[in-house]
Amino acid sequence: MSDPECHGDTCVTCGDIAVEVTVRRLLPDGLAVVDTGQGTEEEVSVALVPAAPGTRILVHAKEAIAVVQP
Amino acid sequence: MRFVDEFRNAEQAQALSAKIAGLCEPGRQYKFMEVCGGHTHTIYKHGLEDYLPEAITLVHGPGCPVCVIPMGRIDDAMHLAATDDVIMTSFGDMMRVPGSNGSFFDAKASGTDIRMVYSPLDSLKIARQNPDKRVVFMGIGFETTAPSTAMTMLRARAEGLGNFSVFCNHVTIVPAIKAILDSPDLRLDGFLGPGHVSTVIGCRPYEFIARDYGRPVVTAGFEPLDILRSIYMLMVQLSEGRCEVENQYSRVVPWNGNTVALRAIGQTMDLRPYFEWRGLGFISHSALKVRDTFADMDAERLFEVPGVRVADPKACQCGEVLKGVLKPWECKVFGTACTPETPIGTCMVSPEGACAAYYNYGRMERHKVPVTIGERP
Repeated sequence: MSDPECHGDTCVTCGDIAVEVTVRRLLPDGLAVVDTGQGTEEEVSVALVPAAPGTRILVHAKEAIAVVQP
Repeated sequence: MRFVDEFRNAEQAQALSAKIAGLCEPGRQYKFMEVCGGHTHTIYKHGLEDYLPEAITLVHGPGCPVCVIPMGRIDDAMHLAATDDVIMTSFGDMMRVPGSNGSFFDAKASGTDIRMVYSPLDSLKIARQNPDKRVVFMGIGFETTAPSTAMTMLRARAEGLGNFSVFCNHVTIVPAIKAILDSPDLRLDGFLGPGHVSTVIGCRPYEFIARDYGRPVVTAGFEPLDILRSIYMLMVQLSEGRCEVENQYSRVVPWNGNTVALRAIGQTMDLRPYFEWRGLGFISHSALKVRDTFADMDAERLFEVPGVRVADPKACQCGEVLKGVLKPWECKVFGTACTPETPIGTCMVSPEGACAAYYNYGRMERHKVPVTIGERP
């Protein structure tokens, strides 16, 4: 695994900032592949929210903490 | 683009600005605290102060987790990282925070095995890949981040992974708000409640602020119009003589929070009797530690942690900035000895820190920068 770097002008990990992404497909063990909206996919945990493909979720430190109401 | 066009519309911002100004009582000054560092960042990135009348002052709160960690905890973490066979893993912002003997980045450059991760899940991967090493995750953050650490501990337990542990520095926002309300230094008229912390804890924990302290709270989102709408909601409450907790950010914040996440935190962590905050001192029940039932994942029990207390550098006035008593530019070293490249205090380290937000967006005092709302960076 390559070392991650901080991109953008605010840190999405340690701050009180979460990012909105869309669930693409569910994986075993409460994980899911999400579309970050920037042309990339990422694997995150959705163990703490009701998620299905297409759900917009709020992710912080690769953990979904809320569902965005449509 | 949804949430960009919708929440960054300059005309709507100007309309809100006029409505806010219209609610100001002549001769009265209003002081609102935005608790969360993410809000501070939005306010300066988009020049929102320029949309507010002179009578309204925004005070920046302690809601930047990196900024409130006392230097002693950094030194403890450095000691832990230097232990044989340990791989320390940390979020990016934390890597730059100066301890008494340099930062994680400095230690990494000297050969200590410290790795930057995006999430505790990444630490777990490193633990799986290095079964002969002991992988420690530097757990830091408010209730936004604690669920991620908690779920990772639960996953490690389910997998039977024996070489993963957490150096837990998670803090809780409500006791810090209470400490600020009890502080004689500052008189506030209301609060912008932290948005993403509230997705986890909900709005209920703020009810004491309205009930016992007579101050309104509006839980706010992070887009420019979210913040202006929230300030408008605070002004409406004050003008109508109401004092309540309201939720502007209801598109993601349920009133009762995320009960599944709260349960995960409760399973793995419990409250410390007290914890030291930079600038605010020791606050009762303001931080989380690893639960006894997860002692095998508690770095503080597995390793020798000196528990040092270190005074902040004399020139640094982060404490006053964190309490909102001083504006960043009023600090003696702001922008001279202390810059984001060579931070002395934590408020200059994280982009969410008030000093870094002021410095990065050229706010050396109020009313100097042209309005940038509606433009994308």
